[in-house]
Amino acid sequence: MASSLEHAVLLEQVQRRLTIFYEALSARSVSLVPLSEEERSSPPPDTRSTVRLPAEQESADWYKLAVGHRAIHYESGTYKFKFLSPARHFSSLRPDSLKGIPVYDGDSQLDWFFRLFANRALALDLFNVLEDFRIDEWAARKYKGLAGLCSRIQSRELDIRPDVSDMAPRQALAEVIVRLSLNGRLLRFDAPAFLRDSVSIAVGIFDSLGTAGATVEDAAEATIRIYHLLVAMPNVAVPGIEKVPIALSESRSHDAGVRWPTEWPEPDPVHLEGDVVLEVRFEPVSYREQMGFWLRNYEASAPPELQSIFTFRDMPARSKILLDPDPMAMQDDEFEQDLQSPPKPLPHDHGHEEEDREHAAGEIHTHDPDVFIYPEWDYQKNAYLKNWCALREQSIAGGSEDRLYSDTLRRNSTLIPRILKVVESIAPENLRKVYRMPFGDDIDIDACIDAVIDLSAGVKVSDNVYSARERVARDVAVAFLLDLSASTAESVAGSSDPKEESRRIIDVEKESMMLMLAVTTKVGDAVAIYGFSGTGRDDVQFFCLKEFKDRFSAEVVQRIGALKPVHTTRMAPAIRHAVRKLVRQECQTKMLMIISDGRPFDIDYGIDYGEEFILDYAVQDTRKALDEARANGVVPFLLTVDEEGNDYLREMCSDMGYEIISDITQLPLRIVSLYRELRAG
Amino acid sequence: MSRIEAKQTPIEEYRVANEPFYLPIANEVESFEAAYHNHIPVLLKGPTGCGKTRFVEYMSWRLGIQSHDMALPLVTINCHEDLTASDLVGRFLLSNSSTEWVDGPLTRAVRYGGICYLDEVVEARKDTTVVIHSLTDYRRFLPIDKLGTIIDAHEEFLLVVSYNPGYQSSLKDLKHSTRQRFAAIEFGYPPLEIEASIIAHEAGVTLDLADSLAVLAAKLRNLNTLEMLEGPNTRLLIYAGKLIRHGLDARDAIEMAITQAITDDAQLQGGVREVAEAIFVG
Ligand SMILES: Nc1ncnc2c1ncn2[C@@H]1O[C@H](COP(=O)(O)OP(=O)(O)OP(=O)(O)O)[C@@H](O)[C@H]1O
Ligand SMILES: [Mg+2]
Repeated sequence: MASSLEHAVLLEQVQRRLTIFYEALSARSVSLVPLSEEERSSPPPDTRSTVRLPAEQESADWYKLAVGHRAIHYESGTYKFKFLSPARHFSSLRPDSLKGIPVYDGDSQLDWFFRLFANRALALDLFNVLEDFRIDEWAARKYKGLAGLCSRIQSRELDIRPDVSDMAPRQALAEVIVRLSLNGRLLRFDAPAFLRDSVSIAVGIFDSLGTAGATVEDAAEATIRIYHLLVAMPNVAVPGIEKVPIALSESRSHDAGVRWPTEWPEPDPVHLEGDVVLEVRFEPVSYREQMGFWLRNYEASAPPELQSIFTFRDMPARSKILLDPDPMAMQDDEFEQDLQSPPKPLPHDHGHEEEDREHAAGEIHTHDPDVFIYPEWDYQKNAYLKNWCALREQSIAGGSEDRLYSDTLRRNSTLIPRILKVVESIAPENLRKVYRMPFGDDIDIDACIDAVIDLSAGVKVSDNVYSARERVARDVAVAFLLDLSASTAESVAGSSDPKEESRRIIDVEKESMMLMLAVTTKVGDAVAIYGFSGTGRDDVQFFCLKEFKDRFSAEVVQRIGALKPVHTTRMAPAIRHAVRKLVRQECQTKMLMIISDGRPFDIDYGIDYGEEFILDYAVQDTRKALDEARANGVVPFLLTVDEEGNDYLREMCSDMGYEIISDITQLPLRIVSLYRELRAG
Repeated sequence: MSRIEAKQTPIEEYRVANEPFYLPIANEVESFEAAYHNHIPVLLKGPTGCGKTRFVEYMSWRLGIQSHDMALPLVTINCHEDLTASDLVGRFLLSNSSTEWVDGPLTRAVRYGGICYLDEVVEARKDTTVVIHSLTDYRRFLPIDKLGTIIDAHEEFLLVVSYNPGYQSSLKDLKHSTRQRFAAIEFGYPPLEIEASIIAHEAGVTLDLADSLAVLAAKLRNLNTLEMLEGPNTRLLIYAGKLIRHGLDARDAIEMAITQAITDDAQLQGGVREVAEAIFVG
């Protein structure tokens, strides 16, 4: 042990490689997660997309086998068990119909199988061991490179198995089963003579189960047989009985002369006192997984999320993370659809216009084509509030000041060379030389020669004699969403130049937009710029500074220049609206960059639940809107400008693009380089 | 060593000399034959290296043998974005002080008969692709603007184009008016056993080794969607087989013909190696 620890390997060292390995073998995605110290004693079960492994192990081979073993369960059909399908190497002891077996919606057929047994937990454990054996044999046959390390690790496992000799007969047989599953056939031990027969039959069963072509149904048949052998054994030691030597090398045919059970489901046996205290335990094998726990309980009483936990169910290969428990899923879908359809005024089936205001107590309706109605996520109810927010698109009258752009460029003169470099690193792939064009910036020599020849041949001459640089169609659409809430009026601390008039957060935002416009136009990406603010759920204001279709013009600059801090931040509807616009862009990559102060407050946000919930409510709704964005193929990125670190969104963004900028003066540069990184994917 | 005179054949007279090795995957052979006998142009869709070129060679041989004891002529034209209509149809060339018309490969095939195979047709500019329009409907003629003539296609002329729907962006799609002139046959990677037989035959390795290579490919192709890694095609598997037969260690051969060939990303390479090492013993 001590010597092997010297070569200890951390999961993180092999994580990426083995993730790919798992994916290749199982055709499904996975994340390999290290078990924390506390979790190691009773590890939470694997889910359909998460496999938990110790953070550190003696060798990389161990990890490879553990990961391979789990993946091969999928490959070799563990979860495709069919109750009524025959096995390959065993005659069928399973009933040939489902009569008398409780069957529920959403069951896997393994559920049905385990309902046959009075001692369900024992059958489960046993099946686990036998199926793991079949998987290992299957793997060794198909993956010659795994065979060697599998047998090495198995023999190491055998070295640390508990001693059989003092065990009660049933427990001893259980231990023998585990050893057989590790191909440990060298064992000799002394035990009562009646154990000998059972052991040799078990060996025979393993011989069949290890044969090429064995299926999960074979493992099930083997389970029935060995289960029967096990329950026939006394589970307390028989004092004073004579012991004989037993070896695991003798094998007996399992179908001759044994009376296997035929009555299903098994009638409940009388419980002897010892049964509870001395439950048979299959000491686990380190590299094999533990069975999901809810299958053990006859009545599954786990909440829906836990039921989705991987427990011998064949889940669809596609791994969509369901954030919501099932009942919500439908509303979620509905909403996605809603998002994708073009905005249209919602039908109004109420009598009087004046009632609109009253609706604000509940759902909001509108006739106004500039107003869009969005739902809101109520995390307390765990449901969408339908038609909850009214967002009004507003255009901004541009001021007369259009020096913002040139001033920005001047102010950032030291930045410009760097930005241009960034730009250049993006640009080439987007421009392509095209030949034989009717106009262009260069002569196409080949085309000219052809033209001259055609001229002298006296035939029609083509005037497509130029070459040009053509912008390869736009691949990227990016929308910027600027927080215009009152907090953006705060001035930027520590301006280096005392003469300089004090600049506010919003000024830096404007400046960043100017730079982004410069960059995106050079690169040829589609860009839109929006601002948002509001005074409550029936008044979310959405400012269109530049739509995707607008050309970059002095007017756009003027509009941005005229931006002023407004009211509060209700970010989620604004995100939903921007996503709706992005979805309609025919670009491969769609990005949404949100620049905010990280404080998502609004007047009536989650007001029904009292003060202490307002923040959570806002964060959850925003988070939901970001998830919707991703579901619609939009990559969101959240940039928080906050010098004090009063940031409430950090937690919510743990798994998506997110950054806090504490030095606001860095915003313009940071935004440009972030843009480049995001764009590169 | 004396210099070996390279064999030269006019492009329209090229025929495959021997029966090409081709294992049918589904009923593509019958489908193609039916199209040929009815003058229906054929579009072959499928990823790179899945046997489209080999299939066309095989069909040219098969259809020719049925009537002439030898393969049909096969003109292959690789399309690229600078391919012009003149490159296909022909052009005037200067000779001394006068000009002389020279037929392009398409024109030659149209006159002479046989299969004309435009490989990767989407790569060609749209204004180039339209020259085949009259050739690929009931008219079956090729107009030559510069000569002011029209050439009727030979009775045994068939136009075949190939196209890889996967890797082109949606922008580079065939125009509908072009596309809907062809009947289409879809190609994919062959099923495991067939792919193994192909590798065994083409690389001259044992079926056992070929099978392992095919398993490796099947596993790596699972990464297409999960890791955006385009798994190896049949051609690369044949390369690996050939390298192994030549005496290279299996893992080295796979490193060279597969791992390095399909990705530059070090982490993906690490993953690919894990899979290869599970299948091949070092
Ligand atoms: N069904 C098949 N029968 C025989 N050989 C095959 C078959 N499928 C693929 N191959 C082999 O795969 C290799 C690649 O095939 P080929 O060059 O025809 O691919 P392709 O589809 O034309 O690729 P590309 O689109 O890159 O031109 C060849 O060596 C060929 O022998
Ligand atoms: Mg080809």
